[in-house]
Amino acid sequence: MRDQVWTVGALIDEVNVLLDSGFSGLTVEGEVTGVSRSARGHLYFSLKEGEAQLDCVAWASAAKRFRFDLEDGLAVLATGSLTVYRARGRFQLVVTRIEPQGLGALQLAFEQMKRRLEAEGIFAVERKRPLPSVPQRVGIVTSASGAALRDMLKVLRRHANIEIVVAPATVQGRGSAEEVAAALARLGASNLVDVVIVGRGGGSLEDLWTFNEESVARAIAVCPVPVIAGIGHEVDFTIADFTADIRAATPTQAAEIIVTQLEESEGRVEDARARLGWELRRHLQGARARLIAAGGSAGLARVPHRVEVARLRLAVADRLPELLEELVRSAGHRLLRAEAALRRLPGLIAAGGNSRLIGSRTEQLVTLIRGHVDQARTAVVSRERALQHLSPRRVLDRGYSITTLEGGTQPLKDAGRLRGGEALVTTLSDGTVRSLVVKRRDGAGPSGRRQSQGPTKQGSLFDDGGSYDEKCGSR
Amino acid sequence: MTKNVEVVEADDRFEDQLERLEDIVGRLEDDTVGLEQALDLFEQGMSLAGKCRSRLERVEQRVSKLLEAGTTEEMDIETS
Repeated sequence: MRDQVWTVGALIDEVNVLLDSGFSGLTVEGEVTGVSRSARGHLYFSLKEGEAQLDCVAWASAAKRFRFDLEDGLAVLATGSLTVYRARGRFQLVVTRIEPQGLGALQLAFEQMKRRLEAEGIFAVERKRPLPSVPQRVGIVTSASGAALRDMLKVLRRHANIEIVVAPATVQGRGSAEEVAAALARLGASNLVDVVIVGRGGGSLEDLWTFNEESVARAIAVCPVPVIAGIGHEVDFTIADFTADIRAATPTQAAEIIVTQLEESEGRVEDARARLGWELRRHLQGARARLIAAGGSAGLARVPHRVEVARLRLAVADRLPELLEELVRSAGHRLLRAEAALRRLPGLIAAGGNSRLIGSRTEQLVTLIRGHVDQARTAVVSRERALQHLSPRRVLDRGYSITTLEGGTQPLKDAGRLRGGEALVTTLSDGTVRSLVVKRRDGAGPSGRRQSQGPTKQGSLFDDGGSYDEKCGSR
Repeated sequence: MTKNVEVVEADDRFEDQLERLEDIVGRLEDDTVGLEQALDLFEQGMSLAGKCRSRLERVEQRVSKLLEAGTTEEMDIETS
């Protein structure tokens, strides 16, 4: 060999044959430095250890399988073959596999992705959208056959007013990230949902890897409705969790967040309704108390005011049947829901006898509520009658009269201002009488200054309460 | 995208109505409000509550599957 004259190419080829037989499939330990990537995706870098340095190349076909990004300063184990690069005559390691030292490759890839997206601002708190007040139409991206879907449906179905649209996607293995991203995009574009859950049951870091892929993170970030991530168990944090608007510990919890939000909105409405009724009752009671306090001896002058109050009360009573009917309707809804829930309880309801029991309970309840409605109607009718009694015309019919100064409009209450010879007009039920004051007698009223027409008797006329006729018998 | 904006607006209206309802309840709690006005407030409040309630009951329980074409079909899944 020594006497042989080599061409450059032949020498390099010969060396490569030797290297191939003795230095292929070897693993080198070192620190990555000078990483560069060519337009075609080949990866060039060096491994160094102290002063020693080894050129490395990973062809695009191998480089795209690396799970993490090569970074300067990273301690790695690189596996490949030694060759001499023919065009330069330089010695290099053609790397086919690479593993970080210390952290696992996946863990490292996770940290790198997280750092990169964080720097981009994709996890920023300002980007997080709140859950809508009424998240009724729920999109779910998960495996159609997984336990996670069942867990989520079980929770969501507890609520009667939730519409669920499932966009199935493989959640593990090759191509799953693309499927999840596509399902998210499809749901987002469908305009069928108010919120989306991305869910998957528990698994190893490898199993959950799909949710650490950039394509999934990007799909979550651009989804037009808020996204809840419910991936793995409590302790599992994925890139999808960081990207989502809301992170739930598990798929079940993601569903619970939605049901809770709906119940809270409903609670606020029902609470406001209940308080409306309560406050109105309080105002009516207050008015009633003021009326009683002002009551009695104020006499006929109070009539217009009292008619007004009675009119208002009648207006409320008027609405009672309507309110009660609504109550019946909503009770009916609830009953149906309760019934549906009962039916779903496995083994608890053994068809036959029990469902008949529910049927008869339903009827009992409906009968009971109908009774209330009828009662309310009766109450309205009796209020109407009471109101008629309060009309000034009816009061006159019962023998009372209203006296004014001639030409005046206010009922006369004080005798004190009258002078002898003044003309009075008295209105009776069927006409008026004109009369002249002959003489005034003072001090006959209870307070010593009111007109003496018998206010103590008349006082009871307008006392609050039922039977006006009874109390008016004393004329 | 424009369609999704509508969804958000519809939700804003619910929130808005609920806030107005709660505001009315607050005003009704004020003792100086006259009876006539109290009745008015009650009536407005009941009407808002009715709207909020029908918004909450707008959809009924249903599970469907979103197909590739963007259409949906009923999905039957036992969860019990």
